[in-house]
Amino acid sequence: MSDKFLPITMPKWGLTMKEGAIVSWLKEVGDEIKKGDNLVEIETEKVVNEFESPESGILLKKIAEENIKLNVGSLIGVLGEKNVDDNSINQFVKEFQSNFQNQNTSEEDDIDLNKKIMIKNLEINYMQIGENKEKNILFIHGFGGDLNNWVFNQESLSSTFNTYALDLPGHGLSHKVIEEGSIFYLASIISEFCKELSLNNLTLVGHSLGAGIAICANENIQNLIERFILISPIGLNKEINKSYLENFIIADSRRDLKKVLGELYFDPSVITRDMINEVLKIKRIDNSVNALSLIKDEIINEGNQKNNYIKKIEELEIPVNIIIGSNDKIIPNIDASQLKKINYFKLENCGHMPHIEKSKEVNEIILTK
Amino acid sequence: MPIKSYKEAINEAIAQEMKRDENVILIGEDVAGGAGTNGEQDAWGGVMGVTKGLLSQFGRERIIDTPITETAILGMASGAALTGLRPIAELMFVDFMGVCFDQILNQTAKFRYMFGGKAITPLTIRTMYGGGVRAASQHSQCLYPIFTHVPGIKVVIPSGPYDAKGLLINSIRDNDPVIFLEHKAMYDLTGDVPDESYVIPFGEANFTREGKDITLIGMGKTVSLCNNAADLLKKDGVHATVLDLRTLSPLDEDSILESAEETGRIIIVDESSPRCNIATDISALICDKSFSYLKAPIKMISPPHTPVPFSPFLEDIYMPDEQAIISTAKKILN
Amino acid sequence: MQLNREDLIKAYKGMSLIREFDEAVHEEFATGSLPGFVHLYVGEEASAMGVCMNLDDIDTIASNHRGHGHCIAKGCDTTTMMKELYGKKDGICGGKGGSMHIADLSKGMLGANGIVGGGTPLICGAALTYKTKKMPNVSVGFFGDGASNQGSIAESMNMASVLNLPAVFVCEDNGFAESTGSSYGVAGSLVERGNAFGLRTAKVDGTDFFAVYETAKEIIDGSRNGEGPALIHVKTNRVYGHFEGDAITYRTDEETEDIKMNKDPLKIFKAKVTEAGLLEASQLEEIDKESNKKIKQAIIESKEADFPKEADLLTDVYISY
Repeated sequence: MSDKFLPITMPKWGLTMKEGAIVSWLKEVGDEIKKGDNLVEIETEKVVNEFESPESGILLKKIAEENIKLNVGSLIGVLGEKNVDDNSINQFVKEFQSNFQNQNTSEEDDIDLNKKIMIKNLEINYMQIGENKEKNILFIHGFGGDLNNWVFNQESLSSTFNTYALDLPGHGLSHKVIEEGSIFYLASIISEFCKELSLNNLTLVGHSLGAGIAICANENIQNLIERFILISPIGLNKEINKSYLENFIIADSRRDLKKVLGELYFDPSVITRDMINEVLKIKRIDNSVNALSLIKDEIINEGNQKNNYIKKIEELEIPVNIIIGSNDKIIPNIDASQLKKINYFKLENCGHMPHIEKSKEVNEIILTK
Repeated sequence: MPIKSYKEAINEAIAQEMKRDENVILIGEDVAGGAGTNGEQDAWGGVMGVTKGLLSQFGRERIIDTPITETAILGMASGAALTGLRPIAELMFVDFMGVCFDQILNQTAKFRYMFGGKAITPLTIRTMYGGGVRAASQHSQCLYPIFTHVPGIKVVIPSGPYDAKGLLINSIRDNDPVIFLEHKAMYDLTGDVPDESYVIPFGEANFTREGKDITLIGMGKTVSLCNNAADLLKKDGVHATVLDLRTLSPLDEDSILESAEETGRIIIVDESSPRCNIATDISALICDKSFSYLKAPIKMISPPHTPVPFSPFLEDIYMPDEQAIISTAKKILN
Repeated sequence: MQLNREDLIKAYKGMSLIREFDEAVHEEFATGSLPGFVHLYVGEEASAMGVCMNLDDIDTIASNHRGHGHCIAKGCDTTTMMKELYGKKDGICGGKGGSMHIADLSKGMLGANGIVGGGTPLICGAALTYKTKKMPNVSVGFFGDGASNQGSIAESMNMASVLNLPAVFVCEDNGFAESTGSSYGVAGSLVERGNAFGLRTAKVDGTDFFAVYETAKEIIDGSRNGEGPALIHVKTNRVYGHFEGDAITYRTDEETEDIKMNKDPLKIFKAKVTEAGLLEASQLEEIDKESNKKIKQAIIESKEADFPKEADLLTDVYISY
């Protein structure tokens, strides 16, 4: 009986997500939905994003109302075949919801999943999702970011990979006091981290600054790395939005930071109040701003990018995938189409954060390329 | 992020600052406890245990138990601040300020101004405020409007553990006198608190909810009332902005007016007595600066003009609650 | 007497300057040119000088409303003090404090104080700083017989004793708490009050600079050496009223004459040093002339000086806001 019906439930984006709310339905009851269509816009504490339908079918019923917070896993809609009577639908909904209520919410939700490891006398914070797989992935965030930048990627890929995401020194929950901010130094942290955790068959996914770090780390852990995914990478061109980095460092109020963060995205409405607060919280930790300044000086030299990694990339013997957004305001006009031997993806209607803005496409590339 | 209680966050702020700066000392009644007795030292760690554990880290040279002598405690702390230390003085209950108010009002607050800009008085006064715990009239007051009224002191009122740590660290580092108010019913409230030290600036209110229909302004414990009310109102399709003032002096006027102008409907929830309290102060500010944006009279939710009653039945009526906010909101939305 | 020539001259210079300052203020106030309230120290000079000559710039004092003498004895500049009384911008407190709030932290002067008994807890604070930082310094709080009944005094003495602070409490008993005699208002004995809290105590004739100096020396040295707090009861006299404008009807003319003739600390000092051949009368007269000149000049400058600007009203409430 219930084979006819396909429940659509509140997705879990990232391990810490506990609840979300529908901002708006993007389809109407009676519409034909294909798997992957944008079905509904959901707001969580951390972000607003579109949720793609995991199934195909006719949208039979919208269960969730707009702006009501629902737990992850709650029923938000029902897909099914045409011409199904209301009673059957309601029966299904009732059964589903009573089953759902009987489930205990997992205790694991309350556990802090961040782990710590000492690398070169610095405490590095990281998160591991997925184990016992053959292949490993390490996600390296960019300037001013933290491991939560990978909220749409890490868990999705954890069914295929042992996924790791870390906070760079001076960022997130990792140690803030750093003596130098050179890409080389940061890369040495990455290589040590990979060695410590024996991350072989490793895909290194780096975003922006993180991509540069990933490339530089290659020298020391060639035997571990089998593939690179470089997202909006530094080091491919001269241009860089110097004032973005400077303003990010200076911004110490919600208002100012909102303006600054807006430049990262093609559609700034994706930024939530909580996202801004989380960034502010990290920036306000003692020594955080110092660390960012040190690193900024290693990224920029007199208004241009300091580093050039074209040669390093071309010398790599392993697959390299470069993903950029067509509307990147932070590192404008990256053009990797001339680089030899790489796979180049330019995503439309996308800013500096493809892994957030176009997570589906990015995850697809990571899975298949 | 690690989860800690309001109490732990405050303890951590004090410990980290005392480690960082040897001029920081803690002075107050029973801030450790056991002085001059044969029993346990650090017997109390403050009447609610907030400062327990500091004695073993810093010793009696820097964790100073005093006799019951508020004028001397506040005055001594103030004089020490003037001459090079960075003291944290504890006024056990804000209700006791009557005993020592001169030292706060006429001495500490005025040194910098009276002495022509030459004095630096980096004093932090920590004190417990608030009702709802059946402590009766002399141990349940808020009184922060009185401090807010006095030029020369800053008034800080955190609504949760994260804010408590960042605001207390800022209070200690700040070179002006600061009164830091801790609601006595909030000590076990938990939340995310980084292990490292961090500073939350003064004069920056925090938006804890955002919505276009109505603005709820809270301070200290009333922020959670506002948050709860906002979540309940959302179920009825009313979207509320909640503004946590964080500091009463300096006051984030810009955020207050920005939100007032956006929604045009404002409710201010203030646990202190209704005459001349913060709600009246903010009300006047909004009327003065943003009058043309108002769609309804500004509403103030405060207890009645009485001392705090003892009987639980009466105290529960006395204290502002979510229902009052919701019914007031519905009134001004129609 | 253990003071050398230099110190004797310093002592007299100080007392002379205090005398000239407050006498000039007395005169100026009567013309109506001084705003606000002033409380004059004429007749008590030996107390301030006798104590303060045992202190350096790091030691601190807190004073009361009758504070000009303590300020000058602790090294505050008389010209900027005078400008302060006139409310001028380059007064010692920028014109923002006035007579009752004169302070100079660089000289260890933690302020005159408009609240009776208000300054005494502060010196416990300074003493706590010295103790915490292991400095060999002392903090002295001056207060009157009127203040001795304030709870703050008792609290301060107890606190200083409990924490063994290098704090010295100096009660300048001039016999009157405003218009009420101390024989009426002060119950029991002041020295006993200090003893009750475990303080070292002393009682001294405040008209005799040398007596004050030596007593204070012993007491202050003791506090410096870790002997904890102490109380000195200085018996002294004020020539003028509680405040300028006080008709002093509560004191007989005979009493006032007696104070001026027989209890003037400057006269007593002069007599002692000239009789012992330590200084010449002419030297002392010269000092008086100098002081007089200096203060007269201060008044001229004060009258000519600018008031603060309107913007100054709003400055220095906080360091940052």
